Amino acid sequence: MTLADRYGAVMCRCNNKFRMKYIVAPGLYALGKPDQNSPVLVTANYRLSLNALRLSLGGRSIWILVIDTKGINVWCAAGKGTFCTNEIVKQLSACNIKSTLSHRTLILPQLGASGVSASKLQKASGFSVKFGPVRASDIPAYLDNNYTASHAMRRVRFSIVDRVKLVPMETIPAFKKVGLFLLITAVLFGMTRTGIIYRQALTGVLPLVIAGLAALFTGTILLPLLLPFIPGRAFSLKGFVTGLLGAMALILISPRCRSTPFLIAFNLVSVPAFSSYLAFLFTGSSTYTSPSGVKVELKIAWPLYLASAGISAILLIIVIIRFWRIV
Amino acid sequence: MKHLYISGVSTLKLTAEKCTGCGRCVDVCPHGVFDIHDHRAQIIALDSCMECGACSQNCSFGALSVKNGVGCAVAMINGLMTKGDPDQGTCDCGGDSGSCC
Repeated sequence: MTLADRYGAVMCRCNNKFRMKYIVAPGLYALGKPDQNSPVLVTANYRLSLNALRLSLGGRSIWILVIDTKGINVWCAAGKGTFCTNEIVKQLSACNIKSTLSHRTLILPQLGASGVSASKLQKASGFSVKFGPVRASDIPAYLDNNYTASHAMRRVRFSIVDRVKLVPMETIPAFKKVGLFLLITAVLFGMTRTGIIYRQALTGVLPLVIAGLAALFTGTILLPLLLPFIPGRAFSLKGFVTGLLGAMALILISPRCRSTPFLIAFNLVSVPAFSSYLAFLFTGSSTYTSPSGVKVELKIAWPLYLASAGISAILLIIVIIRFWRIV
Repeated sequence: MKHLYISGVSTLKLTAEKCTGCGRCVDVCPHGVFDIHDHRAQIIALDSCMECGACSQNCSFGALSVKNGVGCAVAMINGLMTKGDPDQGTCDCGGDSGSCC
């Protein structure tokens, strides 16, 4: 792995614009010195996907067919319908692969199976399909073992390492939104008849900054890290639990956060609700949530989020007005 | 530690009479939902099913059906907000912003 690869891997986990442009051109790639008998692996045109393949197959001679998934990884692209039967058929003929090979077998990533029908692909292209393992790192063992994958190789995991990698892309976008909200709130706190007073704005908004950071911490950092250990199965419930603990810790530790009953109430309503919402968004990044389950969560949690947002807004207005009277 | 999501909601259905025991569902399922028993597929862990559709898409005998999709709150909230239907949304992946699946 070169330094540039490492830089790319880190940037993809922090910056969505960078990630969406981290692509390779679709087409047939030769790894090592493949010949007409070498296996053909199919992957997405997300550079991290191709890198994972390339790095785990070092020293082997293999064909890699990269199909156009708009820069999205195999599993998400299969879910979205871009890693699909037609796209593979299209790329096979665009590369005129049949003249290069003596065999007619493609190895697809297992996670591509939700987008590709092996039998339709065979009918349309003449290639029979074998599904490889979930992780690229298991491919050498899969190839050496006569194209068979063990049960463990066929399972998706969601280890602590996998979850840590996802944290920045959960935290950073949420942080930007919270920052904007706090900026507007600070202006409100700082308003006087003669204009906005900087110092007054800062004093007023400080407890809210602490509350916002607490919700971000419990919803986008604590939640992914401790996921299987947090009570409840619904992500929204898990996020509510961490958020409630966060709000209570806030009130106990910081006198600023419990200076008025309204501020205490605001913390107890808004922090758990926002933390729960952020946790709910993490379903899309997880590897095991079903659409039926997410829909159940949405049905119960959405009205509660709207109610919490309404109550929080009213409490916040009261906090601001009382603050104006005191200063 | 094993991850467990909301139980009793999966729409996965197996019509055992159509199954030939080819084992493709066992191969493509990322959560070990299936096992082959007496030359036929069996659902052994329904609550682990994430309804990705890999099995039904690849069952050549039409023995499996599932209302497949992506378990992504961002996509469903987008659908709810823009079209009033959680099923009609897509996530922000591939777009300009937002979190991703």
